[in-house]
Amino acid sequence: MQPLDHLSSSQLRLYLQCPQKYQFQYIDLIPRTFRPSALAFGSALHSALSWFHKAELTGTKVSPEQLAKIFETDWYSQKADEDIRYKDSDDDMKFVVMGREMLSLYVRQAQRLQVKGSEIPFVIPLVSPTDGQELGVNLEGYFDIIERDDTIVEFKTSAQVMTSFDIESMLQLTTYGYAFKRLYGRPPKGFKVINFIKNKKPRIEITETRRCDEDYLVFFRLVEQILKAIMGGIFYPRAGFWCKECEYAHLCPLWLKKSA
Amino acid sequence: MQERGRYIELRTSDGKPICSFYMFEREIGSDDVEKKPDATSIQQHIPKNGTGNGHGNGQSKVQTDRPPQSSRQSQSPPNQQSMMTDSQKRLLFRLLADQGLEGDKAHEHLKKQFQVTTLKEVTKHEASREIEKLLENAKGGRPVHAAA
Repeated sequence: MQPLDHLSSSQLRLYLQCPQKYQFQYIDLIPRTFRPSALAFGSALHSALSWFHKAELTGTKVSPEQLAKIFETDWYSQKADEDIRYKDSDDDMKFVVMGREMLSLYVRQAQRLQVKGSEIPFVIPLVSPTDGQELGVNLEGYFDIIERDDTIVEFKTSAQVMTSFDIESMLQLTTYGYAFKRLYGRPPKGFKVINFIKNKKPRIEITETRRCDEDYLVFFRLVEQILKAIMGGIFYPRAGFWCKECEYAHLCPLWLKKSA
Repeated sequence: MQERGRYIELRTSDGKPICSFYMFEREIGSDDVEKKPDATSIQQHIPKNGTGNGHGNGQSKVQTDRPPQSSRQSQSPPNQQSMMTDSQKRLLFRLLADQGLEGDKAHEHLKKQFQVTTLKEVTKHEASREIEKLLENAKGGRPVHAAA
């Protein structure tokens, strides 16, 4: 097996969720035959938010209508030549309306954020926080927003409210905190998760949390083990709620067993 | 089994294209022999001999970076990493929207520009060139909001 080019927060999350899917997606590079609507919607909303903040940072005043137009364009781009798979009663128009409503709500709240940078990419070597041991692989990703006081802001879209346990155990935040500390030589002040909740009446919930040095040490050890497993070719299917929307179900040994 | 794609374009000193190549490197390890049929069956679309698509083979006609349509349609993208990224696709739609071309109209326009039946056939390089062209067109006109 060839050495890995890099690891990202979503790769780590995926390996922990289902190593078999990780193999299909990142090792075998098998093209996905469809895209779940929730993923496409999340991408379109993220990119519209990033556009909004970048425009505001350059001093451009953005109207809710302009932002809605960018979102609709991004949503269309997500759908173009993709097989978007909608859940039950969902459809294209429902997502357009929901996106517009969410962004309209957001524009009113966004004034409270002290944005220093938006969609900031990072590539850092994975190094142990205690003994300087290097894993030989980079960690890549980007911060949705960094505020002036060093708070990392992460946008999420979900169908329900995130519990405090969800937030505390969110590996993505630990990943970003680790990256921030490596990049700037100081830990982030904290984290804000801005959750766009896809209810009939969409709403936004903001939750704040923190991470400590021990979390970064545990994170490093976890990544070390995941990397060993990947390099050792350990890929096995893990069943869970995620199987329902899995783009590789038709290749999965578990799914094939069920349908046999 | 890993595969890497390379795109090489030769131009004269004044920028005129001479020829272009797509090259695919393929490394076969012992692990590949033991791979599951499911995974390998997907990859059978990949050219086996490590060659490109025939560009740069001495044809006198000046080549663009587009392979013959028929060969494009008969196979899956050879390497997902060399194909147009989501960000490029998004920017193309935004730039066109800036110029008043939205939704299905923009989609049709892009397929026509790239001479493809689906945007999944567009490479990163082709997308970059089209983005540059659209940005160039926008210069001197209205401000471009799309790339912000």
